Formats: sequence, C-alpha cells, structure tokens
Amino acid sequence: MPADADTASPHRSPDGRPGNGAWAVLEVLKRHQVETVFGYPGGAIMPLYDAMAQDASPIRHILTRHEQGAAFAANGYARASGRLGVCIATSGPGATNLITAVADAHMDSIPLLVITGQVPTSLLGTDAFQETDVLGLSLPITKHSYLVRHVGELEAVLEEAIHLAQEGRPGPVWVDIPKDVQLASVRLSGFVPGVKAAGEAGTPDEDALERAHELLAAARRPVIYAGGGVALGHAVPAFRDFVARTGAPVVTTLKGIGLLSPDDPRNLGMLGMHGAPCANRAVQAADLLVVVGARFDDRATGRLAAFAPEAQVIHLDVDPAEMAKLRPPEVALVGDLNHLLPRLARPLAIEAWRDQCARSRQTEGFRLPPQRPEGGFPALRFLDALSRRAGDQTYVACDVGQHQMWVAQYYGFSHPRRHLTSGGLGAMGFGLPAAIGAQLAHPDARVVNVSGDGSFMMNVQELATLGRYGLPVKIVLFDNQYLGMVRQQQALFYEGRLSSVDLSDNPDFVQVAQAFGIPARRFEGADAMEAAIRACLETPGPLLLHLPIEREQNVWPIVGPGMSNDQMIQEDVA
Amino acid sequence: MSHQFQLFARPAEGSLERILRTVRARGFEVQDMSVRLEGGRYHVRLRVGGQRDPGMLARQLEKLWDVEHLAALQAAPEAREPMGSRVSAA
Repeated sequence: MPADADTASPHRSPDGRPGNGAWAVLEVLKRHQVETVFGYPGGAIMPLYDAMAQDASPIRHILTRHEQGAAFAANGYARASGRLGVCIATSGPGATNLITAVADAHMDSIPLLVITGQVPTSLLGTDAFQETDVLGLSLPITKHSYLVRHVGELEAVLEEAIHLAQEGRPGPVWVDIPKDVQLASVRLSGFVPGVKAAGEAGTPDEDALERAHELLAAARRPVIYAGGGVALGHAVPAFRDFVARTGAPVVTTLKGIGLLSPDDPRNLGMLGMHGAPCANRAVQAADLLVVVGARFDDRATGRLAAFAPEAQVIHLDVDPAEMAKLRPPEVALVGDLNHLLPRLARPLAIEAWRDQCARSRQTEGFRLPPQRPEGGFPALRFLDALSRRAGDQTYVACDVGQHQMWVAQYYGFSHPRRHLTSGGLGAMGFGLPAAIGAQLAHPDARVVNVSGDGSFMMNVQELATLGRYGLPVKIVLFDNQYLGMVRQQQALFYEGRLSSVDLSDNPDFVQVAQAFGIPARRFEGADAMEAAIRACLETPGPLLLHLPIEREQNVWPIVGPGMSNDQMIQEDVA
Repeated sequence: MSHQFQLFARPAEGSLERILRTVRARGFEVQDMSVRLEGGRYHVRLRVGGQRDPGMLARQLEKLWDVEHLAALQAAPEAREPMGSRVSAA
C-alpha cells in the first residue's frame, strides 16, 4: 500500500490539519500543479468541499450552476491549455449530470480528471439515496475509472488516474470516492507509482519507416490528412516542419483546423461532410494519404468504401487501436508524432500536383456567398471579418450546429488550441461552459463563444457563472429560431418535412442575459455588422451579442448520408 | 465466424465488464468465456463471433488499462495486419 491508513476517521489529524481522504485528494491535485477545478457540491462529496473550505492554500474552485457546466468548463480549460481539467460532483444525479461532457472528452481525447462522491461503502449496492453505479456508467465514456473502496488506495489511484488521463492518447479518467473513504484518516506517502504508458510506442519500426519512405518517394499525388491528434500530442511545430519539408498539400479534420495558417497555399482546408470542395477533391484524387493524428471519422470520410479510392495509406498515431480500425493502412507507424514526423520529412518531387492543388484552392476553397439585402445579419461575413480583426490569440468555443460549421469554414485559426469544438460527440451546450474554462485558463486572452439559439439554451444557466466570476467572454448568438442543422437536413433529405425544429418561441435573449447581469445587445441586418464587430472587440467584460439571422440559411457544401465525399451538394436547393 | 482470445487482466473492479462491453460495442458477441483468478490476476479465455476484423477487437482489448496481455488463439483468415510497429498494453 502506498499510504498508511486506518478507518478511525478523525476529521483532523493531531496537528489540526485535515488528514483524511478528502484532504489527500487536494494534496495530490496540488502535487500535480492543479490550480483550478470546476464543480458543484452535494451530499456525498461534502467532505471534499469541507476540506476545500479549511485549506489554507486552496485550489481555485469554480462553482458552476449545473454539473454538466462544470464538466464542460473543465473540458474547455483542458482544450485551451493542454493541461489536465478537473471536475467534481456528488453522487447520483451529480454524477449522471456529468456524463455528456465526459463522453465528449472521451470522443475528443481530452485529459480530464472526474471526481465524484459516492454513498458510504456500507451502503453500496443497497439502492441508497443518491446512489448510482458510477463505475458502471463510466465504462463506455472513460479511458479508465475507479471506485475507491479503501482510503489506503486513494493516493495511488489518484496518481495513476492523473497519469492515465494525460499519457499517450489523453482521455477522461473517473475516480468515484465513497463518503466514508473521504472521511477516513490517511497519511500520504508521496509515492508516485511508476506507471507504464499504455500508448508508449518505443522505437519506431525501421522497416515500416523505410516502407513509408518508399511510398512517399513514389507518390505523385500525396495528401496529408491531419487531425486533432497533432495538437493533443503537442506536435504542432513538428507537423508544420513536416509539411514545410515535404511540401505536400494538407487537409484537416474539424479538430485539425489551425494546424496551418489559413493563408498557407498548402492548406486546402477541412475535408468531409461540410468540407472545402478543394480538400475533398484532393483526397479523392490522391495516390497516397499520410494520415497524422486522425481516425477516419465518418464525418471526415463520407462513405468509407469510396473514400480516397486510389490512395495507399501511411497512418501515424499514438494509439495502436486506431490502426486498421476503419481503413487498413499500407504502413502503420505508432508512436509520438514528435518522433515519427521528423523521420519521414523529406522533400517530395510533386510540383505539378502541388500547383494543381494550389489552383484548386483558389477556385474551390470556401467562398463567402453574396450578401442578400433581405438576408438578415451576415453571419459568415461577420465570422470572416472577426477572425481577421480579433488577433491570433483569440479562443473561439463553438456550440454544435450550423454555426459550428460556419466557424470551421470561415474563421481563420492560427492554432488548433484556439478552436474549441465538440467534434466527436457533437454536444449542444458545449460552447458557453467551454468558453468559461478557456477564459480561466487564459485570463488575459480574448475568448468568444459562438452559439446558436438551440445550443445556447442547453447550458444557459452558466451565464450566472460568467457573471459571478466577471469573465469577459463574448457570446455571439446566431438566432434563426430553428434547430438549423436538423431543419436543413429535413429539408434536403426528408422531402422538406420539418419536424420539431421550430424555435420561434425563443425567449428574448437580450433580456435573458441581462437578467443574469450580463450586458447584451441586439444587432439586426447587414448594416449592423461593423457595429457588432466593434462591440465584440472593444467592450470590456462579458457581452452577449444577439444576432438574428436569415431563418433558412444553410451550410454549404454538404455530403448527404451514405454518400461519398465527391458527391457534395453545393447549391441551395432546399 | 468465431475468434478466440486469451488474456490476462488486473482483477480490478469493473475489469471484466470492460472486456465484455468492448466485445459487444465493437460488434462481436460472446460465444464462450471462462475466467479464473490465477496468481493475482484474471486469466480469461474468450470465444467471440462477429464479421468484423478480429485484429481490430484485439487492439481495442489490448488498449484497456486492466488488460496486461492478450493473445489471439485462432488466426483470423480475413484479418489484414498492417505493416508497422505494434504496442502491447503490458
């Protein structure tokens, strides 16, 4: 056992300092330089909150107004900072309310430590008040999870959990701690277990590297297909150097946006369902795909059997389980991208292909459509203009829906960490709490939450958190009084039968924000764009910008369900 | 088609459930399973059925933190192993 323990449960150690399990949790968090945690108290987690109250040098606790808000805020904190996010809740409903945001972290490989209180061990399995099988609930949505039944295990479990959340392919790790374990007396050993990294890949396979070089040298139409794994692996500089050395065209997933400058001629933009035509066409014509930290997600590939039909594949990833999960590669390179990419970086003789892609980028990149006089607030132009004027250090946290795709298409990001988006799970309600987390990670940075009227209402209560902590997050709320993405797909793929997508009974969002103490302004029509940008950039403190947009504006292009990426619909036929 | 695996896992709370849910969620069904606690760890023999690549399932099982070692006892004819480095969770 790494720690001495007994079950006498004195709340305080003889010298008066808390010396119980709850205190141990805080001490281990501090050992790992955790400065901020997000949470919501309740019965079974009260010992931990009591320990926080008695802590002479407390970790900053951000009280959200819903446990989901706490987990999304920790998620956003981790995304923006690259550090561990920590969220805390009580048992039962506290734990179940975390689940969506934890699942989001699992899908997008975000390092998150989830701590919940649990009913006392003597009551486990008795259907006690606020008892749920949290370990069981956590299994499909975490990298790993623990139920700590003995305080003597607590320190080692927490150390392992913190390590696991961040090593290899990151992810959420959940530690469920019964109330009596939090109260039990414990002495920390300081012991840090020597945990072997599950994703530790060791030395790259030299034969595989040689084969990859052969494929690269033989390729005439190579494309680099890069995803979120590059930034998660802290490999953005290595990736940029690899692109510079090879000169190959690059397409990115939603989470890979920002890996290259939007103005870089090699950057063909996002691929997939709402990707740039030039990106999808390059992939479909490629004879070699170099897949870097991406996972052949269906939103990126469209119909998998028709994806990059002429391409051989070199797949680089830290997670061996991604190899051949969906598309068997000719060469699999498992390991740290910082080690692998330099080994592959050699100039390629592909001038004709590079020129072809650069021309395609000019003609088939994302283009701002003409603004129609009656078209409401110009959302796309606003995003394009905002990105040019807001500066490279601006963090944008999206919600999920049409506005999310417009941000991906028209906001120019300088780094993937500036773009916080719920990629894999696609969780509405992500944006506002994630923006709160990003602002706390970067207090001096500009943070913008771009949301839609559907998503915004899913965690609207976090306006209270914004107000409580005085965070200067700007909320850009595009309001079409529809669940726009669902409406668009019903119009396109369900013969126009709209079903439960009308939100024309939305509240007055300006009044809602003001009721929470958040300043808010409405900007209507094309002529209001400049004033809205200036308000967003120049207003100190928080601000909600309510921007009514054309009700039936669509996201273009779109690849329909079951279609291949070379079957993009590019015209407004809805 | 059936595929057989043998694996050793830490006897941590939930480890058998993780193995079983991975089999189910990745598109296979358990046809036979035996578990013995040997030398402080689970020794699991597993026969599963499914049309997907058993190599994919093996990699997903190896990825589980509790799984210390996994071996496929029956080669899958349709499995296509990519050339390259492989990592064990051991």
